[in-house]
Amino acid sequence: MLLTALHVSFGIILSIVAFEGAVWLNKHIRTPLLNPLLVAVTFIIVILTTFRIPLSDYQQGARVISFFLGPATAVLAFSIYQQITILKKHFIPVLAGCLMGSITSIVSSYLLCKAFGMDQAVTMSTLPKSVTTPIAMSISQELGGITSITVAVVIASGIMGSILAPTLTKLFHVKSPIAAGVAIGTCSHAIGTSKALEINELEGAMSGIAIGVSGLITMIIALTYHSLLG
Amino acid sequence: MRDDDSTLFDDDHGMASNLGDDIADEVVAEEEREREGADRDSRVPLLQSPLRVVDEADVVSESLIKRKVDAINPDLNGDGVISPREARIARMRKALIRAHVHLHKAVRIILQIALIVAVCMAGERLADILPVDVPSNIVSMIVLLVFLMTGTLRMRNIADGANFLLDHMSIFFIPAAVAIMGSFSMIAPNIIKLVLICLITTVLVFFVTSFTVSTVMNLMARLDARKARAAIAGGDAQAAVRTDSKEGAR
Repeated sequence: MLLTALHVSFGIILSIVAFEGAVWLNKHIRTPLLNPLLVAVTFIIVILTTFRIPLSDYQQGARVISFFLGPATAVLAFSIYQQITILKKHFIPVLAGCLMGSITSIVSSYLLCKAFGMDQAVTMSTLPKSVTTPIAMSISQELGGITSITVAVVIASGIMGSILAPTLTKLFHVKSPIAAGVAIGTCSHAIGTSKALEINELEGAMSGIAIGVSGLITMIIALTYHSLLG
Repeated sequence: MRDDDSTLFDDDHGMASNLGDDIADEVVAEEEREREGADRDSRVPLLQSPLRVVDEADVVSESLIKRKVDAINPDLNGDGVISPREARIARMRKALIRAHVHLHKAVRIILQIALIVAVCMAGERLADILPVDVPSNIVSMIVLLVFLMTGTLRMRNIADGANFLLDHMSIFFIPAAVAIMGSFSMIAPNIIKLVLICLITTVLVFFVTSFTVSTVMNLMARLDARKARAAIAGGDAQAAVRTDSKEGAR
């Protein structure tokens, strides 16, 4: 009995300890590469491989944590609802931008994956790489991709977007903070939004809205395509 | 009273439309306090989700603590002097009040999360019934959005729980990300290609999105300008609109 209890709590405790440690580290050394999620996951993987702990042991306990993925996704609706006033003001440009951005994301991911010769499962996993993790995981599951790969590419895209955002803004001569914000949110979701919030409040707000809008649009496009062909 | 430099409540952003005046003042006061770094005891949240707009709920509980703490009169025997013993008692009472409010907040968070979970379970059932193949998470999200928009659920009913989930969202993804270990064989040979794909698509998406938003905004501005000019020239709004549409048809 004690052993089972130990088994289950191991996963939970390891996850929480790793995350708190990563947050502490991120607070002291501020660089976008030290994303708490990334650091925590790396730490856990290192521990599991070093001590040769089978993944299933960890996952037995961690299942309690991943149970909250559903509610965490639903709460995105709360975030969208809070922003509805701002969304109404700039509805058409934001919608148009997110639409074109989502289409670009899906099409370019698909074409590049095929060009690089990736197999179908990996391709399907990278399609929703620009939307926020919970939605991306749902889309990936429906399309027949591998969820863990999706999480990896989503985090990678987020980090890349947040690092490149200021450079790209200058490179493409984006004058309006609204345009920049929507662009950041569409390509690098929540991780990019943190960066956008540092630059400018309006950019950050627009970025947050773009997460929700482009998430929904990408989901509609991906699932329509899937149900038409699948 | 809003002549502060806090652009957060600038009406152009439209963000302050659901905040009352006193709460807005509290937030400004809170920000000033944070800037001075004076109040070391106030809980500055370490994790702030970028998906949060304004932590109204946090502000309310902080102001509640402040009000109750200010209401304490440490001078117990009324002699006008605060002895060390009285000061100690006052400090203990303050700590108790703080713990009391935070405990209430914790319980509120748990109950609200339970409510959200209930909505999610309803969403799951609904997703099974639907003819279209929509993921249950998304159905739950849409159900919650509908509840919020129709007023079935008020924001304050789930604000604390929702903000907690949003702030700690990264934790919930740790198990899913650790599962990469299982598919490492698929990623390892392709890792450079995947990184390149991420890079190229991110840049492309950024460019297309920013270009589209800028162009649409310019177009809309030009359309508005044209309408305004026509209305001024014609002197009659109706005629201006009709002329505009005729020009468009040609």
